[in-house]
Amino acid sequence: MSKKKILLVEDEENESLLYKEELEKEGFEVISSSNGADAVEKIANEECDLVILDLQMPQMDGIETLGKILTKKRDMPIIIYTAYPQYKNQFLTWAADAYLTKSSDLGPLKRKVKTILGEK
Amino acid sequence: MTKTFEEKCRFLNYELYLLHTISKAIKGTFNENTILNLMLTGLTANGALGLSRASVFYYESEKSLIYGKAGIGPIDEDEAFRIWKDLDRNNIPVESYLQYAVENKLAIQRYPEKISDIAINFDELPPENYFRRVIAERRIFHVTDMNERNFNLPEQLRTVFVPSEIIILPLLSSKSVMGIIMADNAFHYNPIEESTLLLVSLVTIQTGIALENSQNHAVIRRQLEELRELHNSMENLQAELIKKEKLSTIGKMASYFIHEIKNPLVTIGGFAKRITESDNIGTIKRDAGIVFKEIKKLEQILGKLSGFALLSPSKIERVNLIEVVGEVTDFFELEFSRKHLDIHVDVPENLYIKVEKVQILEVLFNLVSNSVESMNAGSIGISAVMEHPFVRISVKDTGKGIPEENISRVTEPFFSTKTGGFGLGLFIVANIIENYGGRLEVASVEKQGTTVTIYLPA
Repeated sequence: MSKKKILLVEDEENESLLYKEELEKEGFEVISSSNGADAVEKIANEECDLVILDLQMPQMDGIETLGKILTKKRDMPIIIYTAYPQYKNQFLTWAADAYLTKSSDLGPLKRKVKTILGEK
Repeated sequence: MTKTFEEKCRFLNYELYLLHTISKAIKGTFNENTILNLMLTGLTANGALGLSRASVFYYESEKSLIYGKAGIGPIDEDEAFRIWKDLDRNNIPVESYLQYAVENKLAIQRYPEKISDIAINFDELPPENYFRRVIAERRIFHVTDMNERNFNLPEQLRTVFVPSEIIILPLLSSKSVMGIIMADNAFHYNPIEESTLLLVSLVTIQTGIALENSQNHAVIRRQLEELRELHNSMENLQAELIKKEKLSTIGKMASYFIHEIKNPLVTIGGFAKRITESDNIGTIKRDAGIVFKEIKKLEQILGKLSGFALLSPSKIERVNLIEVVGEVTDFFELEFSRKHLDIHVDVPENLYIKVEKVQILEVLFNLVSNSVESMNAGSIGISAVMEHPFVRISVKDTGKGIPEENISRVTEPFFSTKTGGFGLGLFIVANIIENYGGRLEVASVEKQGTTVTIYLPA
C-alpha cells in the first residue's frame, strides 16, 4: 500500500518543519508549501490526499487559497489549522472538512488526519 | 365741559407718554402672558386711559373657537372701589404701575377667572353680533348704549356684563386676527373719548406685534432646542463610534498579537516535546536551536507590544525639530547611500514642537522608513514651516506611490501591501498625532511619489 500524500501549507518555516516531520513519523508522505499561490500550483500538478492549510499567510490569504483549491479539486479533503479561533464562524471555512486551532500538542491534528484518510 | 388749549396739550402729551411707556414695556418681554398682562394693566391703569375693565379673547379660526384668555378689572362695584382706593392711596405712576401689576398679580381677580371660563363657537354667532363683526370687519367698535335688553355680545359674556360704554377691537397679527380685545367703563362711567380709542388701538397694535414676535421667538427657541438635542445626540453617536472603532482596533490588535505569539509557541512546544522523546543528540541539538530561534522571535514581538505602550504621551517637552530630523536621517544614512537616495532637509533652525521626543522620533522614523522602502532610487525631502498654532512637517518622496483606492486606508491598523509588513506604521503615526490634537494628510500619485504632511502643536 502506497503512502498517503499530504500537502502542508504553512508559511512559518520551523512550524512547517515540525508538522512535516511529525506527520512523516506517522507514516505519511508530506510535501510543503510556504504560500497560497504555490499550494494551488502544487495541487494542480500532484496527486494529494489531504491539504493542511494555515490561515493568514502572506500574498494569498488562507481562505482565498481554500476557495481556489476547492474550485480545482472539489472533493479534496482540507484541514484548516490556524492560530485564529475566530475564523471558525466564517462560512467560507465551513467548506473545509475540519477546523483545528493550533496547539503544541500535535495529537488532535494527527488524529484528525487519520480519521479523514480512513486509518485507525 | 370744555378743556382749555393748555389742558388739551397737557393731556395729549400725557397720552403720548403713556403709549410710549406701555409699548416699551410690552416690547421688553417675549413671554406671552406678561405681554397680555402689561397691555391689560396699561388699558385699565387708573389715571391712564380711564377704562375700568379689559379682557382678551383668542380666536382659533380652524376650530371656529373664541375663548377667554385674560382679563383685568373688578367684577362688581364693591370690588371696584376697593381696588381703586388701594391704588389711589399708594399713588403709583404708570411706569411702576405696570411693574406693580405684574409683580403683584393684579390680574388675579374674579373678573379674569370668569373671562377665562368663556368659550364661544364663532359659527353660532349671529351676523350682527359684535364678536363676529370685529373678526370679520377687523375694525374697532365703540358701543355707548348697550344694556341687558339690546345685549349684542355672545351670551356667555352676560356673566361679566355691566351696562356701560364698551369698546371691542381686533387683536391683529401681520397675517390674521388673533383675537378680540374688549374694554368698558363700568362702575365709574367716565365717557370713553375719541383720543382714548385711538390710543387703545395703538396699544393693541403693539400687543399684536409683540405677541407675534413672542410666538416666533418660541418657535425659534424650540427649533434651537431641537437643534441642540440633535447636536448632542450626534456628539454622543460620534463618541460611541470612536469608542467602538477603538475597541475594534484593540480587538484586531489583540488577535494579531495572539496569532503572532501563538505561532512561535506552537513551534517551541512541538520541538520541546520532540526533544524529550528523542535519544539522537544531533536531532536534539537541531531542535533546541529551533526552539531558541523561536524564543528570539517572541522577544521581538513583545518588543513591538511595548512600543504600543508608548502611544500616549507622558513627558511633553519643547523639541527642536532640526535635531530630531538629524537623528532620523543619521539612522538611515547607510540605507540612503546603499540605494543612492538624495536627501533634502529644509527645516528652519530653532523651530520647536511640543511633543514627547520618543514619539516624534517614532513618527519621523516611520515616515522616512516608508519613503525609503518605496523606492530604489530617487529623493526624499523633509521640510517644515510654522503654521500657527501648528508646525507643518512634510516628508515627500519620489517612490512608487499609493494607489488611489488605498490612500484612505493607509492609517488603518494591519493595512499593508508589503510582504512581511505589519501594517502598523502609519496607524501608530496617526494615533500619536491625534493624541496631540494634530492631523495627518497623505497625498500620492502612483509611480510618482507620496507626500505625507503632519501638523503638530508648536
